[in-house]
Amino acid sequence: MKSVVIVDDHAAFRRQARRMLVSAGYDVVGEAVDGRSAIADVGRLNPSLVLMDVGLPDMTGFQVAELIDPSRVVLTSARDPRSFATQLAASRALGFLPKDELSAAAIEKLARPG
Amino acid sequence: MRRAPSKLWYAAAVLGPLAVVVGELGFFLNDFAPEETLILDLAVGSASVLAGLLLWRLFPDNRTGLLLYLAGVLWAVPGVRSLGQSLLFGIGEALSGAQDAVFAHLLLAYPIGRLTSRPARVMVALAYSTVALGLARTLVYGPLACGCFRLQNGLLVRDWPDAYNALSIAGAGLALVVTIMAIGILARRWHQAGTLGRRTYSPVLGAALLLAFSILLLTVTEEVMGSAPRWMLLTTVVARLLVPLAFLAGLIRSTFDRAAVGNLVIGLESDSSRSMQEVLTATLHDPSLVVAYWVPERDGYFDANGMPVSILDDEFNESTTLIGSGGERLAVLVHDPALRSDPVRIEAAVSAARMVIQRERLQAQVLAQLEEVRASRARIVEAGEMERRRVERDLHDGVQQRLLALALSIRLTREQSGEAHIRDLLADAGEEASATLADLRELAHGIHPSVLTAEGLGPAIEMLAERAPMPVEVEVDGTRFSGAVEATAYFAVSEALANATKHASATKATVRSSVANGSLSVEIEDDGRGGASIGKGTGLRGIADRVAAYNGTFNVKSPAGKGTVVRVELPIG
Repeated sequence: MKSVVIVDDHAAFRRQARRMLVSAGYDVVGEAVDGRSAIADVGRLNPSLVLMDVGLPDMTGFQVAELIDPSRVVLTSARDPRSFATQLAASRALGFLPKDELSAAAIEKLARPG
Repeated sequence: MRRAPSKLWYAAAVLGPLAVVVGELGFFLNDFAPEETLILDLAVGSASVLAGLLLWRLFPDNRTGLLLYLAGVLWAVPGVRSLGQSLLFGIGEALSGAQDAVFAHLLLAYPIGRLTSRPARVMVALAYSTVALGLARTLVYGPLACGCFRLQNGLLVRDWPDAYNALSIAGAGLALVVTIMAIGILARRWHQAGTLGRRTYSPVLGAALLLAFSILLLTVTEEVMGSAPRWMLLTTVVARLLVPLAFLAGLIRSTFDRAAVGNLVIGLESDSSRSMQEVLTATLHDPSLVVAYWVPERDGYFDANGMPVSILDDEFNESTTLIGSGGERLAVLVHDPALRSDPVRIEAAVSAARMVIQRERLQAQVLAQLEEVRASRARIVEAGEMERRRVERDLHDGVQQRLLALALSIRLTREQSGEAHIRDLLADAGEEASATLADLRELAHGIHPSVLTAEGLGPAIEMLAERAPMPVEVEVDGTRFSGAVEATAYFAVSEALANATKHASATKATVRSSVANGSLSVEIEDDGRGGASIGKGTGLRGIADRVAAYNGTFNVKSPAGKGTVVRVELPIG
């Protein structure tokens, strides 16, 4: 079973994302509300996937992704991705999903390319 | 500028020449006076007294005139020793060295009539202490006993030749020190003065240095040899004569310059393209001169264009001249300190140009206030922009996130529900939530597009173009500017494209930007029906106001039936 950490400062979103991932068979091992605790949790829990909001209170999701292993990070945001096109293009994360298009299938597709 | 002279001045004008004539009469009666010097003596006294009175009359606030006058009187006073009166003899004897002290004071206080440096004040105090020594010496001087004069000293307390000799030597020594110090201070002033300073200092300073050197030479020679050759005495007298003449020469030149100022100001009145500063710079021969006007509403100094001029707190130094009117502060001239040496010219220029100064000050006042209004408008626009950013962020973090969670929840519930009609109902609800979310996103984007802050003008305008219902060609590169410039340009483009769609029925549009001469210019062109103007509707008016708040220009060319070109230029410095 794949382990996941959800990083987002909005509780309502974390709750629904957890529900979605659990129903798709993921094991949600942790939730973090900002960049600092995300780095700590990922180091401690070593999940195989991190679902991370781009706009965190203390730093951007792009910055956090570079500090943990970006190859297990899926970025998400409620904003239009063109608002951070430059950072997105430079990021080594697995990929980006708009929040309103978020689904377990879409995450699966990014995590297993090809 | 002319005030009625004071009673003191009238009294001095009568008594001064009288004292000179009486004193010189005494010299004339004195058998021991060298006859060749008598005419020169009279000339020195008269020239000093008359030049002093004239300067005193013209500049009652400047002590130069009074000091020159006193020096002239004191020059002649020792002559009263020979008038056959023992009390007059004592007074003449006591004051026989006083003119040198006053001369020292006069020269070191020139041109402003005040002693501004510590060494100069010390030196003048020392010079006046030689007068005290002279008085003390007189109290122990018995001219009958030594056979020096056929008259008793009216101020004699006790005949004491040893004390007299000691005090004489002390006085001569002190005078020597004072003279050397005076030469040092004057030479340093000359060395430090600029071209303008030397131009104005030169006559008086030249004469003063000649006098100081000749006195030094005379004193040293007398001390060493016991007496000095007659030519040395004559040189000293000639030098003394040159000093008041130098003051007079300065006065006469100033009068000519004042006429020149008058002519220039006549030119200034009729030719408003020349500013007060230009005219004063040329007239007073000081390229560094700055005219700064006092604007009480802003509590500071501003130039004629309304830009602030920083003037240090110690405004009253040698390089500033305050201009007032009826106790009210009007302006301040910041100039070469040497200009103070020619107060006549500053006063003449200022009084001749008072009308122009008042006019320019009013202009500075209006422009300074206008600048303040512009700056305050920019601050208001800036505050509004920050508020829009905050509202957008709040929408994003609040309602939008909750709505997203709701839509996601509906979707998950639908996927997990076994009953078909509930799934249909949830599908409807999910679509409704998504539509609301889209509307909200559109609203937030209209309030402040986050792409503008994060990615800049180019990507933000690309997004505007994509949302427009007609094809929009965008020629805007990725250069970043300040938040104010980007937001102002963005909303101008947004408004112009909205007008092109809503009112002009345009079928295509082009947005171009370029940077030249420190300005960003953005042009929006459409092929619609034209007829737009800044006066019509609030949209373009609002953009024009925003652009003006940042010192930019905003143009709309919209001939009926021939499309519209909106052009915005914003300074990016």
